[in-house]
Amino acid sequence: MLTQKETIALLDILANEDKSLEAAAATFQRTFVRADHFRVAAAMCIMIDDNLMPAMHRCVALFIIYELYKNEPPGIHPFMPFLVDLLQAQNGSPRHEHNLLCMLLSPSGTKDLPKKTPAELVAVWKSDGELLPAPPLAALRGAYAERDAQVPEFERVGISPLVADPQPLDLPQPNMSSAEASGGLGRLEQELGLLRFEPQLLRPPPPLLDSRDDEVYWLNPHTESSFEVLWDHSMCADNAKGAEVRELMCKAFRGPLVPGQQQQVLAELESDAKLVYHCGLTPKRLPDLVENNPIIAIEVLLKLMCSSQITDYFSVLVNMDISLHSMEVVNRLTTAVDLPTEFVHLYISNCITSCENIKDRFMQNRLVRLVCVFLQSLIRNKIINVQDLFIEVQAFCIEFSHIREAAGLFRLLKTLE
Amino acid sequence: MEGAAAAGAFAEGSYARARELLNVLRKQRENDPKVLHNIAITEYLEGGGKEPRKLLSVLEKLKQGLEDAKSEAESVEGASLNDALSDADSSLTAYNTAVLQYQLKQYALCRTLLEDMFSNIEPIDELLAFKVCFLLLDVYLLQRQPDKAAEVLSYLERSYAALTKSDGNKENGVSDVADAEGKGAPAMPGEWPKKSARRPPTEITPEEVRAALNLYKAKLSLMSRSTKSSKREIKTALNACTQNTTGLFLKSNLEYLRQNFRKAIKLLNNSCQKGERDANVAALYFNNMGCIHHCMRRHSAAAFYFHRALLENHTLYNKAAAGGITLSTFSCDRRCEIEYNRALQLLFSGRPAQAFSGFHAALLLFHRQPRVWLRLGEACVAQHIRKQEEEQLAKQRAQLSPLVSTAAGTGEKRRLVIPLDTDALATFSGAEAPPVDEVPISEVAEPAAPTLAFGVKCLRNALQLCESQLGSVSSTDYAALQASASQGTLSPSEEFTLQLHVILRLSLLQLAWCALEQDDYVQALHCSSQLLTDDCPASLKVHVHLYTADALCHLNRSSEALDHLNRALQLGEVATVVSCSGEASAQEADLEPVRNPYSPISATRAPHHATPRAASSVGSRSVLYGNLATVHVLRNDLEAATKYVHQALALQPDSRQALLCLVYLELKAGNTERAVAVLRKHRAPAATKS
Repeated sequence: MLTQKETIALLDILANEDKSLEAAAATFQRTFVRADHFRVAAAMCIMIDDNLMPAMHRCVALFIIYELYKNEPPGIHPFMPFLVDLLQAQNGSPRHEHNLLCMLLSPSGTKDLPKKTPAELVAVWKSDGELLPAPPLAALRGAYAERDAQVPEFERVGISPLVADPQPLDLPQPNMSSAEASGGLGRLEQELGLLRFEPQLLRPPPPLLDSRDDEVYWLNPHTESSFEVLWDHSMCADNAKGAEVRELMCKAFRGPLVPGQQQQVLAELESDAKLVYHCGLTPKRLPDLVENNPIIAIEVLLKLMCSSQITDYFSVLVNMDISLHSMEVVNRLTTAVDLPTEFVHLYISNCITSCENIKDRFMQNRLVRLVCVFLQSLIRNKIINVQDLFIEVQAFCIEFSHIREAAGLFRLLKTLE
Repeated sequence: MEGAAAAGAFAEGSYARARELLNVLRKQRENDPKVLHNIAITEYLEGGGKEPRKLLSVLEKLKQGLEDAKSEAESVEGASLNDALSDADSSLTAYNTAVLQYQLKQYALCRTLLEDMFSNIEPIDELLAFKVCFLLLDVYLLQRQPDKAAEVLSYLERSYAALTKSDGNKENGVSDVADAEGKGAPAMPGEWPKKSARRPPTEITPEEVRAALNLYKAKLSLMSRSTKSSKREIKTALNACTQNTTGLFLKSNLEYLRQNFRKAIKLLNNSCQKGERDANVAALYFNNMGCIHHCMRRHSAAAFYFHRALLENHTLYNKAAAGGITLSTFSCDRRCEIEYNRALQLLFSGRPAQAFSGFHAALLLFHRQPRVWLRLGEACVAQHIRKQEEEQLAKQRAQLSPLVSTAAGTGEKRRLVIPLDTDALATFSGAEAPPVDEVPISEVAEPAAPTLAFGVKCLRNALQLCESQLGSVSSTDYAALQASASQGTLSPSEEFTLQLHVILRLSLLQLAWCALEQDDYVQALHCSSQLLTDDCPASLKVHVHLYTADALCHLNRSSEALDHLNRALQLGEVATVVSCSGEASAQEADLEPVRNPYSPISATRAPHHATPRAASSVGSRSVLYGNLATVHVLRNDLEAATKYVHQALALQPDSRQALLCLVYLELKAGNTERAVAVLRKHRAPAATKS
């Protein structure tokens, strides 16, 4: 903490037992620049703490430590805790030191103390002399307690890392070579400082993740059917039939095919399961196909049943205009496969709405008849559960009760009730 | 004519000839996408498969062209269509793209593409669909998605059955009843039933499909072994596989999983035949030997085998690399997997720095897996501990004894100096590491090194990945998963989720520890309190409380710290290794438990030759008592502190921390002689002690 030069200068000041304390303090202020005051004072604290100073020196040192910051309030004085603790710990120590501390810390001030020399102090306060009353330590403590609380707990509890271990001089140092000793001293210089010794917390490292069997990668060889880029064998393949079907389908979207053509399409679709996906049909074109070629539409839809696109086709079918052909297609589908219930219900609702909205009287009657027949067929074939749609269908029958088929459907409903 | 001839030449491998024929064809059929496709494939293979990127871009263009043509055809009502384009089917192009991505190990891209195809598989030609499904299966197995793989497999089974069944009905005229009877051993047709005159874009024989089906069935049941799929089932599937290297490897894999290690080794030894398709068999053999030794907890031996595997792999790769790397060589290169395997052994056998570089190399392939990042973090932490230990040891070697740094002065004025924490010295001299928060995570320029700072980044990556992956799975409730784990009813995907949970919590715990080491106590408290609110595995709880208490003490909240330590004391033991289900790793009867080579707790010398587990329990209690003593010192309750110090010392008489705490307490109480006595008693030089 101190260089050799500083140490000599400091000892010079302290050793001057004949000068007054005031003079010693003044010399100290002259010898050391302000920036060094704290460091040197701290070093003196350590020396006092560690009992390394003769009694006279201690007096001077204590006075200097106090004097350096005496203009600060007791809450700010950096060495106030040190002085208070020292006074507190005084028992069996020389009376003059006790009295000195009492005077330094007393709120009434130091009076003529600075004028005295350490030798005089020792002489005045002999070991059997008067014992000054202790100043109110609690109040002093209170003054710095708040600032003290801002010091981390660990630093607050620290104590000096030096432990007195007196040994008779004539005993040789056991187990200590000169190299070790000098190394130790070098390190001592590094380590001794303001650092304090305090108990530590142990901090065991976190556990490792256990490794199961499957954490290591077991490697299997690439398999025989190893993957390679493939040649397209369908290149230049004769695809006349496919092209023909596509051509016919194109026609089928625009108008009815003659029976021969229709048969050809159906046969080709039958012979190649995948052709239906490549014949040019899209959900958008389905309504045209339904209107123009319901037979083909039915076959195509049946073939598409297992495709993931079928829902798209269904939603188009539900939303297209109601006609004889569309009903025919739906009717055939219901008998051939299990259609999703929501789809059938939606379709029926659409049928009913269409009937209600149609303006042309004649067309309306026609459509209502068709719907009634369609519904009867659904009910008879147990495609739908009538209870799900009972109210809607009943209302429909009552609205169109003047039509014979509607009355018939109504009677059918009643029998099922 | 030329088409068939070109196909023939291609099949024979005379790519130059095939290309000539194709170029003739190209003039006849301008812009026929199929011709263009085959030209691209031929040119790629003619070049030895060294330019997969080029082929990929050609395929991409072709696919785009086909799709454009298709959408145009749909928009123009009834327009007469270009014949070649209207026949558009981009599925083979897509498949070839997927194959290239698979070989380039871009499994995520490959998977997306294939899943897209699988979701609309009906329009795809059956034979090509088989290939698509097999590739998808492979990717699912690589990515450990047994549930999804099972879905694909069951589709394959149905599709195969449908194709072969109609054959039986039509050609042999067998009735459905007879077919049902003969279901146990369906006759394998040599040829597919002719369903149409149309030529499929690819060829695959029924035998090939059947064999591949069996193989994948076996692989899948091996992967989902935890669901108790019986041994017999796996064996049946395996026996149905052809008995070649792959079959034997799989059989060995089964024995390995059943922990019949000797048998597994025997099967492996029998399996190595020359002339395999996978030229890297030697590396695979050593790798799998390493896996077996890993499971036997012989980490050094395993590390040796993995090292050999790496050498084999390098030899093969370097030989091939001489003339530019072909894609097939690249796809056979298993460096990342083997590096990971080896690094794991190194980590467990106490060589963290080497482990770190291994894990780092494996990142190339596994950077999406949080576990790799956790391992990297663990390696960094381990290396940090190693360094600290070395420094401590070096320091102690220069000291008089573990408890006395040096002695100063002679005679009456002789002083013993108690060694001080080095951390504190570093802090005072201003050599503090910069706070972690100031380092941006995305910064990649910094070279990877096993430092604490880098470890923090890795652990944060692990955390991030866990969180995002947990966000995308459905069953995320940790407590429920743990409950079913203890009953052994976890599905493979649930097990994976549970593992994510554990990795997430371990990463947090590691981060808390790192933050403490970096004196970032607020961050440490943040991490550990997150662990306290989350449902945390019991085996981690003690650590969490310890770290919380540590952080609180440094934040001047020692009163709260006491509470945490007391709770930790009730929990008991500090686990040094945590299994994937979150419990302290179970001790199996004949297997030694994994040791954590970096934990001072597991290194505790147990009295009376107790089991390692008992030792770790003693060690952990001693740590808790020691820390309780320290916290009581902070609370200024010296009496309680003294009590706990003696308890700690009763468990572990040579605990340095507890001894120093005792010295402190004696000094504080003014008993200098007793303090000196403690210091003297433990003055034996550090070197002779260990």
